[in-house]
Amino acid sequence: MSTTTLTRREFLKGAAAVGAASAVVAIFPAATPFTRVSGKEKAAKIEWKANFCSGCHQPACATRVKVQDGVVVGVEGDPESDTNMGALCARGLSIPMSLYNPYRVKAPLKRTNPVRGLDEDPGWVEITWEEALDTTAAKLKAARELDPRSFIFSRGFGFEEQRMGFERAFGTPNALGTPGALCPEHFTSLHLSGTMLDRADLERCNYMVVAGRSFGGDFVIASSSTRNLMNAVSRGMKLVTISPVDNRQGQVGEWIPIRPGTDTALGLALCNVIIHEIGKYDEWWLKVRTNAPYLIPESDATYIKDTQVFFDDYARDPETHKPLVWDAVEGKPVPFDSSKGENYALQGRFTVNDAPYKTSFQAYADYIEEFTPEWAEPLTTIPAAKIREIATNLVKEAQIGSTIEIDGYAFPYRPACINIGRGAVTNKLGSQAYKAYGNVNVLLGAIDVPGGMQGCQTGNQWPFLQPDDDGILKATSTMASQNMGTPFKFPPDALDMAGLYPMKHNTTVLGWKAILDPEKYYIDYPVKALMIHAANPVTSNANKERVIEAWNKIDFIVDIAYHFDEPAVLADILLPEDHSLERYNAYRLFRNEKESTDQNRVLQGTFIKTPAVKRVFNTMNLNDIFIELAERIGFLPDLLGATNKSVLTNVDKGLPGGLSEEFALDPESKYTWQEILERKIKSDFGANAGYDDFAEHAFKAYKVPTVKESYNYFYAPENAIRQPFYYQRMTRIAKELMANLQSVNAHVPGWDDDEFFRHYSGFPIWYEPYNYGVTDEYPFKVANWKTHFLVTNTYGNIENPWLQEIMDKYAPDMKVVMIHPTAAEKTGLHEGDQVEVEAEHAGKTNGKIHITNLVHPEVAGIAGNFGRLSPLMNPVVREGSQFNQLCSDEEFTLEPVMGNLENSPRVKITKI
Amino acid sequence: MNSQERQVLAKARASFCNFLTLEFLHLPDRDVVTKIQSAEVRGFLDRLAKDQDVHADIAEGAELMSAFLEANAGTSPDELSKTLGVDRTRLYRGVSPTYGPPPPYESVWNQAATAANTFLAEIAAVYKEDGLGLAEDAYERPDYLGVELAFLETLASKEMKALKGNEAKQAAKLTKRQQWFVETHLVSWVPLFIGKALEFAKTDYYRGHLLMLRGFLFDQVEVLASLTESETK
Repeated sequence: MSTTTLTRREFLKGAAAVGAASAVVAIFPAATPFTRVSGKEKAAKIEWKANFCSGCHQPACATRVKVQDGVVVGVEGDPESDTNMGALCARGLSIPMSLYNPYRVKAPLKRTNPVRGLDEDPGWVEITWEEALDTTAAKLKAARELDPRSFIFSRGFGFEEQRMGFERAFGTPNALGTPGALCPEHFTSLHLSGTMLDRADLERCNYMVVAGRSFGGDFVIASSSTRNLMNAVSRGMKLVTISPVDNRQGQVGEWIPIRPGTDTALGLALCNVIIHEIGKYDEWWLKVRTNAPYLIPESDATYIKDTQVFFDDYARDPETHKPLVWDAVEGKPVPFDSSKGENYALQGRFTVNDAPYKTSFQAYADYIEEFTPEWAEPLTTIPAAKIREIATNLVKEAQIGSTIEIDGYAFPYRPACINIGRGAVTNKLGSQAYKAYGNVNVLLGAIDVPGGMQGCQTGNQWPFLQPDDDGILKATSTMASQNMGTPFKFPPDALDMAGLYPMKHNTTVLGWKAILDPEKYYIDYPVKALMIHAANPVTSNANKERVIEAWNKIDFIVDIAYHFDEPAVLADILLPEDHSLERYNAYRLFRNEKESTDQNRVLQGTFIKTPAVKRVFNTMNLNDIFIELAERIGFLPDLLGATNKSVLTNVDKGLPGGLSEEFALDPESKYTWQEILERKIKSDFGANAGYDDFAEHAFKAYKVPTVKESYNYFYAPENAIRQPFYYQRMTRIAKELMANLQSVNAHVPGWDDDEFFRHYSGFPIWYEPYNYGVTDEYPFKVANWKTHFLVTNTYGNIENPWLQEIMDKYAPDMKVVMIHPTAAEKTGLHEGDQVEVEAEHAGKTNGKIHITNLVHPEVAGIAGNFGRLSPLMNPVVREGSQFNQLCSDEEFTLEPVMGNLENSPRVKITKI
Repeated sequence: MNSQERQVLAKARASFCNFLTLEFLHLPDRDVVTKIQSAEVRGFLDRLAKDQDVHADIAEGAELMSAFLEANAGTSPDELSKTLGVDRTRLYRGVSPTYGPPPPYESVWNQAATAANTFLAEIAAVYKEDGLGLAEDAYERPDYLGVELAFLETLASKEMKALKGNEAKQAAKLTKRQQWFVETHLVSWVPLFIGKALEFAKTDYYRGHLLMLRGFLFDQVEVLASLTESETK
C-alpha cells in the first residue's frame, strides 16, 4: 500500500467529512473502557494472588495466581497449602484459558426466537442486568405464586463452592440435579460408614482390590489421589484393578478384565470362597460390629421372578421389640445389645418361641453356597482360579485378628479391602454389587479401621456414627435418605419420584418424563419455570430428545451460564456468572474421597478466595444473582435466614456451619455475597478477621489433633454401632413402600412390582438382566469412565485448548471407541475407522475406532463425554463420541434402588 | 500541513473512530436507537455517503446504514432495538463461529498472537505504556475490537491535545504510536474479521458499519504513514 499518495487537500477534505462525527457522538452517552493508571513504567507489574482451584468437584487445591498488568498469565499450586502441597493438575493449570475463553457468555442475553431446539437460531440479544433480572424474577414469582413446585432447579457438578440454597428458600422440592445418574457411588459408604463417600487407606493398606473405581492417574486430584497412590505402590501395596478397561491405575498393578455388569457375581463368589473354602473371616467383627448374629426366620426359600430373595424381619423380643441374637454361652436368645456380642452365635440354627431361626450369617452362608468361582467364571469371564486367588490374598493380607497401636490406641488392623466405584455398580444390579462387595469387606472387618476402607468424613465433625433402634449404623447427614429412606407421599411432590424410589441417588431422568406424562407419574401440578446452573441435563443424562421435548413444555427457562452449552442454547434468558478467578467465594474442606493418608485424613479447613482479577466480562457472582432474584421475587428474608444456618459445612465446634449470632444476617436487610462471606470469616475466625487473612494463602487448615482421631473406629469402637451384613432396613423400606402403594392403589410408574421390589432383598441377588452379555446383533457392551480432563465438566474444561492439546497429543484413549483386536477381527473394523455406535435401547453416537488390548474383548470403551451437541460452543467440543446418547431412560433399564442409568448398554458398531 | 490543520485531522480521526466504537460499547437499546434515528446521525451518514473524498468503503457503508434507517423510519424503537440487538450480538459479541464470525478478539484472529493470556498481558502492557488500564466497569478483554478502537481514539485525541498545546514532538510521537498500533494490531486482524462478519450480517445497518470500519482502518494506514513520513522529511 502506498504511504505517500495523499495530498494535503485530500487529507483535509476527508477529515472534514468524517470529522462531523464529533457532533454525532456528542449525542450518545460517553463511553470509554479505559481509566488512567499511575506511572508509565514499561516493566510489567507482576502480582501473585491467593486463590483456590475450581477445576473439579473437590475444589481443595490452593493456588497462587500470577497476574501481569491485570491479566492472569499463570497459576500454580500453593506450596504452603496442606492439601495440594504445591501440586496442581492439568485442569488447574489450564484455568487461565477458561477465564479468557472467547466463547464464554459475556453479558446477559435474551432469546428472541420463541422456538427452542438445538438447531434453532435463538436470536440472542444482549440486554442489561436489570432487564435480565427483572424478566427472570417476574417469571419465577408467577410460578411461585401458582405453586412453588412448578419451579425446577437443575444443578450440576460445574460448581462445588459455596452456593446459597436458592431452591430450598424458594420452596420447591424439584431439584433435578445432573450429578449421579451415572455415578451412584454412595450406597456402601452410607450403609457401612455412615458417610456420603469412602476412601481407601493408602497409608496402611497392603492389598487393594479396586472394582470399577477411577483414582490415581485416572482421576487426578492434586490435593490427594495420584501422589498418595504412587507412594502406596512404591512402598509395596499390591493393587488389583477389576475393570472392563485397563486404565492408568490398572497399569501400576494387576488388571483383571471383567464383563461389564457382573460384579455382583464376582462379589458373591468371593464371599463363597472366604466362607466356604477358606473358612477364615473376622468373627469378632461380625459378632460385635455387624448384624450377622441377628436371627432371621428359617423358612422355605422365597423367590420373586425366579430369584431367591430375603425380606424377613429379625426375630424380635416381644417386649422391647429389639432384634434377637443367640447367646452361645447362655444358650438362649437375647436382645442384640445385651452385651458387647463376643458370645453371640455367628452360625447356627435355633428355636425361638417354638419357631426355627438362624443367624443372618448362616442364612447368607447357606444362600451363597451355590455361588462358587466355577459358577461365576462364565458370568464374569474371570477364571475361577483367579477368583480364588483374590479371595485368598484378601484374607491373608487382611491379617484378621491383628491390631495396630496408633497414638496409644489399639485398633483392629486390616490392611486389605475392596475399593468399590461407579464402574462396578452403574448397572441394573448396582446395589446388589455393593451389597456383595460390601459383605467381603465386612467379612474382613476392614471398615473404618487402619488398612481398610474409611468413611470420607472424620468422626470429630458431629456425632454421625449413631445406631438406629436396631443397633445398625444410620446415616444422619448428606445423602442420608439413600440409607434411611425418603418418607412416602402420594401423590408425589417431586417430579423425580423421590418417595417412590425411597433410597434413590439420582432419578432426574424421571422428572423429564413426568413433565411429559404427568398422569402416569401422578403429578398434579404444572411445571412453569426451570433454572439451570452448572448442569447439563441434555448431555449428562439420557435421551436428549425427551429432555428437550419436556423443556419445550416449560414456559420459561433461565440458565446461569458460563458458556453456550446445550442448556444455554435452549434457554430464554442467560445470566452469565463470574469465573472462578473473578469471584468471592469459599469452600469448606470437610472430607476427602477415594483415598486417604495420615497427612490428609486429619485435614479439614476453610478456603476463601477473592477475585484475582477484575471481571473480564459483564458477569455477576452466582450468589448475588440469587440475592437479586430472591429480593425481586419476595423471599430474600427466607434465603438470608437459611444462609444464617447453612453457610459452609459444619466441621465441628471449631468450624461450625452457618453464622454466629454476632454476625448473623438480618433477614430484613440486603447484603452482597462479598459482605456475607466476610461475616462468615469473622464468625469463624474472630471479629478482627477478614479477607486479608486469606490474602497470602487461600486455605486455613483445621487438623484433627492425632492420627488415631482420623480413624472413625476411634469414635464408635466395638459394638457402639453395627454394620449391615443383612440389609434388613432396606427390606423394611421396600415393604413399607409396597404397603403404602397398595393403600392408594398405585404402582411405581413404569415398573412391574415384582421386578422392582426384588432388588430390595436383604442379601445381594443375582440374575441375568435384560442386557447381560452380548448378542449377534449387539456384539459389544460399552464401558465408560470418567476422564481426568473432563472429570465433571467443570468450567468449560471441554473447551479448554490446553486440555484439548494434551488429550490430542498424549491421551490415545480419549475421543475414540476402543475395541479389542479379537473383536476387530470378528467385526472387520480397523484402526481409525469412522463408525456409528448404536445402543440397543437408546440412541447413537459417532466415533473413531482404536484397537487395543486394554479392553475386555466384549467391550467398546468410550471415555468421558465428548461429541457435544451444542452448535454454539467452541467447535473443538464436537470431536469424539457422546457416551450419554447410548443411555436409556426407560424404567426397565434403571437400577431400581439407586435409580442410576445403565452404564454398559449393548451396542452395535457400524463403519460409516 | 500546519499544526492547525493537523489538529483538525486528529480531531476528525478521533471523532470518527469514536463513532465507530459506539457500536461495540453501547447496547442498541431504546434510547440509543432513538438517537441513531435522529436527524443528526442520518444527516451525517447521508453526507458521508455522498462524499467523494472518503474511502469508498466508508461511503458505501454510510449509504447502507442510511438506507437501513430510512427503510426503518416507521419502525418502533423497541422493534428496531430488537432487530439491531440481535444482529449486533451475533456479529460483535462473539457467540460462536457457527452463529456468527469467530469472536472479535485479536488473539483469536491474529496469527502472530501468542497464547491468549500471554497476548492479553502484552496488549495490556501496551495500554499501560500510555497510562491506561481497563476500567473496573469495562467488561471486556483488552484485545476486544471495541477496546482496541477506543485505544486508537484515545491516542488520536491525545495527539490533538498535544498539537493544541504546541507539543509538536509529543504529537509526532503519538502519531507514530498510532501508526504502530494500527499496523501491528488492528489491520493485522480486523479486516479478516470484517470479511467473515459480512457473511453473517443480517442488517444493512451492520453491513454498513463493518464497511465503514474497514474503510476507516485502511484509511488510517495511509493517513498515519503519510503523517509520519512528512514528520521525517
